[in-house]
Amino acid sequence: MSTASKGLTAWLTTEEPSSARHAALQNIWRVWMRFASNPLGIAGLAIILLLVFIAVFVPWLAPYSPFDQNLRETLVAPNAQHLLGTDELGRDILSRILWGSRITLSIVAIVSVIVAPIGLIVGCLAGYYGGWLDTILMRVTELFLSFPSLILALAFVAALGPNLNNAIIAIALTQWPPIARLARAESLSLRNRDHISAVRLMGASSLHIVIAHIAPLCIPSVIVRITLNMAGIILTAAGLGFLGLGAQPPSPEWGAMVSTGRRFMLDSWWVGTMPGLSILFVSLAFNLVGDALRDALDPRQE
Amino acid sequence: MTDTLLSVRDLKISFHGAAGIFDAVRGVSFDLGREKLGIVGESGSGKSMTGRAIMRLTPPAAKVSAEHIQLGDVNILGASEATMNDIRGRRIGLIMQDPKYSLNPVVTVGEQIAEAYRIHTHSSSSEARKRAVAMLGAVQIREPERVYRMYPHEMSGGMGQRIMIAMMLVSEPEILIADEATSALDVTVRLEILNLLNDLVRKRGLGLIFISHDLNLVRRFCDRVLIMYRGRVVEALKASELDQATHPYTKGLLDAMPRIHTPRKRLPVLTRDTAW
Amino acid sequence: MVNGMKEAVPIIEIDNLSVTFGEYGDERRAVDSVSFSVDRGETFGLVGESGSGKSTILRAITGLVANEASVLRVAGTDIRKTRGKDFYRKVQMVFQDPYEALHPRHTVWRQLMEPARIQKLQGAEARGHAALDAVGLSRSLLWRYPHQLSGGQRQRVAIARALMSEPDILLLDEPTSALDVSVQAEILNLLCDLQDERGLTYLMVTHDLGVVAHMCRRTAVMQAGVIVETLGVDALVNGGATQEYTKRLIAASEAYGEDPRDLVPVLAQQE
Repeated sequence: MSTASKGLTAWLTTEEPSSARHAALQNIWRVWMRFASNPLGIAGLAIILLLVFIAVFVPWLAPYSPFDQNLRETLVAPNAQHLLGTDELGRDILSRILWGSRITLSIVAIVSVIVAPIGLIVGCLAGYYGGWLDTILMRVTELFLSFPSLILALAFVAALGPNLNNAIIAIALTQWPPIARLARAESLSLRNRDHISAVRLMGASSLHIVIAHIAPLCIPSVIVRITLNMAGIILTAAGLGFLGLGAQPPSPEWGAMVSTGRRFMLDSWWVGTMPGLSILFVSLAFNLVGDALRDALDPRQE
Repeated sequence: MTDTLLSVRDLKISFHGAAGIFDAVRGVSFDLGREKLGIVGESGSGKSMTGRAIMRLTPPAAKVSAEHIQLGDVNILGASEATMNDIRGRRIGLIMQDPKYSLNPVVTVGEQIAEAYRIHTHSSSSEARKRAVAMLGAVQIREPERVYRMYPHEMSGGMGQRIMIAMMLVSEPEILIADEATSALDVTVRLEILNLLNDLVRKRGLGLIFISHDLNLVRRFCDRVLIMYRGRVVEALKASELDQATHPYTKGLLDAMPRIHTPRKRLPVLTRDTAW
Repeated sequence: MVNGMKEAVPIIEIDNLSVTFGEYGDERRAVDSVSFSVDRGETFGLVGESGSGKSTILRAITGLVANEASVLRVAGTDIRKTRGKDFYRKVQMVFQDPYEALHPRHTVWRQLMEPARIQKLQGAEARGHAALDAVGLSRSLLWRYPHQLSGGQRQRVAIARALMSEPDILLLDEPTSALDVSVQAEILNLLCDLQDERGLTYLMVTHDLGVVAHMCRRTAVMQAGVIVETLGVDALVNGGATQEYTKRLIAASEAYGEDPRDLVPVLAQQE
């Protein structure tokens, strides 16, 4: 370890932080140290970072265009030219999977951006205020929860028209209710804690308490839950793609690729298997990261 | 003290963490006879950890070493896990501060006591039931038959603590470790529980290790007192001679307590010496 | 004041205060028609065992639990219906478990700045430093989180936070029962000093008669939601209690008090 990094470690672990920013960085450092002590979590994080790297640099990484057909080389088994083989239109499967990472990541990003705030707001308001507001918000939540998420997503997509953007909106609509339930449960237990009572005794308004005290304390478990749900989101997206209601051909969405691969399963296993494995690894990675985050963010560890 | 039930020599417990080594217990030695031995200390003194080590219930991160922890013919340090399972509950019982955490919430308290008896004696269930009801009577619970069918959440604090004591006693241990067993109880209930513990030591010849933060309580209740500070026994004396304590920490603790009958304007504050 | 005698001015007046928990049909009176008043500058104790309703009274005064009363006045202002901004400046509370009472993810400084921000106090930073000095906390702890503090330091932070709005009344809910004896002594001394300096009025809930004897001038003894009797602390400790329950409480407390007699004979008598 160099002296510079030793000095940095000392700065990050000193008992007497010198400013609010210093203290906040130390907090992040402690969470990171706990996260880093979990090898599976690190493995998951590595896969996700690799996915991000690929999505950013895919124009330089992919050996072929994902759309270029070559009808003389259809359904070629994996070889030196085509590491993962080609599909029924002679497109390079490796290139399509690499380009598909962009689609998968954008689904993940957009769904979380929509789901987290909705779930958090609905849950915290219902949990803190209780009463009729709680009743209304929770009945609406239960309405969404009472359908299997894929069926609900199917219905939305059928209504909105089959394409990737509508699929993402449909998935988001099915994913916020569990988050809202979680945030409500957290708010309910926080509501009667002494530190919230102390803030009430300062004369703070209910809105201030929810925004500045309840919601921030719910965020860690919401992050964990969304990360753990990410596998389900990716699978739902793939499922919609598989059913032809998500991304439309020729876009290289992994679920749609599995769907076309199904027809050639017996003679050309790689067409469906390769994108299937990609879905598997990425879902697994999000699950591992979610598990590790749950341990790292748990305040009881401190 | 005629015979020694338990002998602890040079017990050390340390935790090896990311922040370095933390010594929770730094060389504790004592012998326990058929008596009430108090271990007193503030939080972080290592008193609870000492009790845990005797039952080998320290957390996995803890490193325990000692010359010996001798229970009769068994050295607890080297005993197999199977031997320890036999010792826990059967030869040494542990009562903790909150009975709610030690009882199974979905099984009636009577059945839990009967179960404890059956595991250790391999007797029939009707026999175990009879013993359990008798034991509930022994810890002065009125209507033991009715309480037998109650669930832990229906218990008040004092009653829950009696149930815990009944559960520990049903397998007739030699030693009872009470870790802050009365701290959460109201004063009037506390007296009754102490009374019960006192009877048990007298009638059954138990050895009682009474771990507490309450120096006044311990001095009035126990025969001997060990005062612990930061993992060491700073002083060991007869409870009746606590007034003649010589160690500044013991004196400081005694002074710092508010007194009912001798009011003082300010309470003397303990100054800690790093050399203790 | 001609003769220099301080006149007793009631600052908290409570008459017929009741608190009911539970739904309609399954109601439980946690506090039942309680009346007492606290004079400016004194420390008034509320003593009782768990479930006696003593903490509930503090929560009723602050409006944290719903209640009904014929009189509920603080500094002459009726607070039965609404409590203005002024109330929350004048009255502050210190809780039993300081770890629970502090925001788990805020630094010490942020804990102190929160009341300043909510109540829009002038000169927040100066007040913060003054509060820290008043409770004897070192500046080096400013940016620590509650989990990085000792129990005594946490309670000092909680007291400093309560002092930010320069209140007249502190409601103390078992402020030392979660602390070690030596730390308890420090916190009790601190509370006494603050009272001397600022003329604070304390309403103190505790189960520890030793603490009451040390801190309070008068105390109410509570059992099952009712005030059994209200008496001066001198009378309390010198056998002036008239009610059976009070006597029993004192006997039980003294049974393992500082009296060096052996406890066993006392226990035998109890049987």
